[in-house]
Amino acid sequence: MSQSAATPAADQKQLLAEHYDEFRRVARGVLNGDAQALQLQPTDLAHAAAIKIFSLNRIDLQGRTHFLSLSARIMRQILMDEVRRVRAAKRQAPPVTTFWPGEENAALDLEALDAALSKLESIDADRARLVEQRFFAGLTIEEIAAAEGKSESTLKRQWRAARAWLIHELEQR
Amino acid sequence: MRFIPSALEQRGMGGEADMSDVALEREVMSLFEDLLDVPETERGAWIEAHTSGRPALRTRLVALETADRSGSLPTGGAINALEDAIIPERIGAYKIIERIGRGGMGAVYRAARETGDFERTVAIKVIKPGLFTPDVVERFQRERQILAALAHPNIARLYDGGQTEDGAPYIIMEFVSGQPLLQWAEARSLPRAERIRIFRDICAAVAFAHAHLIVHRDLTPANVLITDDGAVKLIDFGIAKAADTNTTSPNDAAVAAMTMTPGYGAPERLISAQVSTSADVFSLGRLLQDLLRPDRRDTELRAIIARASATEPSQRYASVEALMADIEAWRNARPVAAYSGARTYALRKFAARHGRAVLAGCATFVLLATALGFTLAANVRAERARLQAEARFQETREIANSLLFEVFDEVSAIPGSTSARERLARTGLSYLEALAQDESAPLEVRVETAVGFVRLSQVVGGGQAGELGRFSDAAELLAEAERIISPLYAAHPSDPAVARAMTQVLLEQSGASLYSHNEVALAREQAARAAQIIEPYARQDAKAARAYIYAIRALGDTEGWEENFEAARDQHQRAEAFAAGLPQALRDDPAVMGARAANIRLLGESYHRLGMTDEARDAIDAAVTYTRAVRDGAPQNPAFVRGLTVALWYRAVVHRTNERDALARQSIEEAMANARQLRERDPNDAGALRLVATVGEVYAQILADARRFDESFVLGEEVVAAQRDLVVRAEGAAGARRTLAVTLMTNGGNFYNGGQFDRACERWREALSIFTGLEREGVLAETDRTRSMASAQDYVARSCNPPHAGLGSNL
Repeated sequence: MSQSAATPAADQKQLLAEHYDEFRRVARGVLNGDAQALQLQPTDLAHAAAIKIFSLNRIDLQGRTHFLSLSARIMRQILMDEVRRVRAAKRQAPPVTTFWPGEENAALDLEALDAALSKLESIDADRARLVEQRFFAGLTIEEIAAAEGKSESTLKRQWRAARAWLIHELEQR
Repeated sequence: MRFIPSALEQRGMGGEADMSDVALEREVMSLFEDLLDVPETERGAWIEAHTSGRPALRTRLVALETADRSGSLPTGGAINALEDAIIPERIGAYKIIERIGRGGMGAVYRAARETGDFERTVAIKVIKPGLFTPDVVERFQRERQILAALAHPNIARLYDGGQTEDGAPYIIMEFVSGQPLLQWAEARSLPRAERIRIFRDICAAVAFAHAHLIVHRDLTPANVLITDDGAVKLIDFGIAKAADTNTTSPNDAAVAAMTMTPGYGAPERLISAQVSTSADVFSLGRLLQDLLRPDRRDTELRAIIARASATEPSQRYASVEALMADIEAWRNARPVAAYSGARTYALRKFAARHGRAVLAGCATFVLLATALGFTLAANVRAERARLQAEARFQETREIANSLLFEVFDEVSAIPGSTSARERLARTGLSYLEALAQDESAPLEVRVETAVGFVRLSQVVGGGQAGELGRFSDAAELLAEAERIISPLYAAHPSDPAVARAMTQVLLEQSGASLYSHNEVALAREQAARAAQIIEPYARQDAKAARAYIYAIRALGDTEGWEENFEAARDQHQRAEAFAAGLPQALRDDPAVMGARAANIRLLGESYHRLGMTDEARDAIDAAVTYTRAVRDGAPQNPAFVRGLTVALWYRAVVHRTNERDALARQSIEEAMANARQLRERDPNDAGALRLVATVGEVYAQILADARRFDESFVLGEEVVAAQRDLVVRAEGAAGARRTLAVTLMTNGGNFYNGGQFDRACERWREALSIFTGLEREGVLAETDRTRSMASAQDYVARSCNPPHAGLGSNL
């Protein structure tokens, strides 16, 4: 199946919906150790699923950004579902950690971050979405700006606000 | 929206803000964003003014500002478990000084060893017990030796490893006092040129490791430290790899070690545990993105990043060197390989670098130096590679193929790269050979090895562009290729890859038989077999189409060599009819166009020799047009420049004998300029030297036609000297001596026409002695015996005892 830039966004959503199970299989496969990689990254998950489904290289940059930004949301859901499932099955399982883009020296608890992000979502969906796109799809500010037709400086400021908000929120926990 | 399941609504339960909070929080964030534009010193007053009478808003805004300043995110529960862990007093022979880091995998300590009069400070990474399975620990013990030998100024050394009393594996490495890359760069508002310098250092270190068959596998900004004096240090080299293979109880280990760095790991890491150097290229692309942050106008830089970080490994740069070369090209405003824009792009680039030729030359040098450095380093490790062949089979094969094919091709497009190519080919081949000796080596590896020998023979002495002129060495290499491929072809005649490789070997042999060894019948037989083998695939793709055209062309050339110009013409027409009948896409492929042009040139030659003047002129004009179009697509590519030069040279020949018009002069001047340029750019290239000799010979005749004897004589000396040089390089191969003799005959003719009978006779006598020698050795072709040698005897007899005008006024 190939995917082109001409595919309307609605159709891309449809495609994603149809392949929801495929995403789940990828996430589950990784968490269950079907793949041998130990270190997993949400971005990679989205990419891996996308490779299996569409062959990302046939989408041009714009189409790819849209697609990844959509798949970011799905990957977040599935990844968190799976992490909870694995952790529930195992008593005293250590927390899954992750890094904030650009701040790789400190490990974050993925579940705590996810919860804080959900709260941000209920306050401001746009800023939460930005975090999701950067964090779960590995998109850059520039890519998001290009895909959504927003100015980079606006997005940079929103990103920084979201970050400050999340830091504060996590400190409260 | 079907694709969002109900789980989404459930997520965040218990964490949601109530409605009044929502409005406040939105306002806070929006105010905070405005605050970012306010200078630090005025922020207090600004907050005061914008939150007056609203203490809740002010509290929240100050909280966000403080959080923003605090610089890093709180590490949450993940670290708490480790926080309580007791810091050990000693590990091995080292005394722990302090804990300098911790993460999901374990903790890192600074430690010192007091041995006699000096103290060595090291970093010790202790992996949480139970995180690694015994398999992994054992594997790490094995790899440790390679890692420990990885000595590079920009790679933190790994000294040792072991296990603590409670069974936790540890690694002792060089202590690096520094900051993570991005923080360091941001803190200094580092200028772009400095950032590029740092990135190149990173690349060079990674390339060095790849040459030692070590893949970092987890290159992230956190693993790149910048020391206090600004030097790059890569840490945790190879450890990620050692850590994550062969896991047998993945479930809890997988979750425990999930330290995620979004965006840096190559996608294929998830699908397969087999990770190649290409995964590091991916991570380097991501690093480059974060380090340089290109804006929308940096189209080429963005293309470089996109290519490095392509989802599919095959779409990425074949090596770190190739990535570095493209960055060099970008910095020097040369066309960037990753940026496949329109023709105007290359022209724009050409204009931009006008007057910067010296710099461009430097860039070429950098690429070659890097390629050679890689080769040298690889050579040193070749023995080790053999020992590790089993474990690293795929990796080695990939490096070998990358050297032999991708890097080789990339380097071939650069002028002056002949000896670099030889070393690339030799190194790549030495790897492949080692692999092919393995009993269980797959068929493809043996095929790759055979083709590798063909490649090496081409550069050692293939008779075409960019070669060293050592014909007999080349012949041995081809014989080796044949020894490998023949049994494979006998066993798997219908395997397309085997058939293609067999064709390549035969075609190369046919060319060598004809041009280097003067064995016409053998050359014909080899070409006929090649044509027969490749025919079923000839319409499938450009490479096969090209091979088929070359095979038929070679058949024609063997006829022309023996002066059977009607038979030659028929074969060349057959090849042209095939090329013309290909689908448009194949016809327009540069590989096909090049082969077709070469064939048309020979078609023109046979028309010319058959006296079909108009047809000859049309064919040769078409050859010039084609080769010019191919050359314009890559003006620096030596092979393309050569193709055009050969066509121009032959146009001069045709026009000179048929019409003696201005076009002959014009064509030969352009051809001569090209040939000399190729020779100057690569003095090692025997192909370029041969081109100077061939073109110069005709040029000297044209000058003599115009009675410009002084110029003609000077040029003649250059031509004869070039032919002598070629004989030396070919270690006296028969083909090279025969060519020298023919050149001496022509050159003597020019002297004769210019009235210098002494020098004419000197040339002819030397030619005659060469022919006599070849005859004595039994390697004189029949046509040479009846024509050239007979002429030499005749000229010497009639005009040289003593030298006089015994042959009339003009030859």
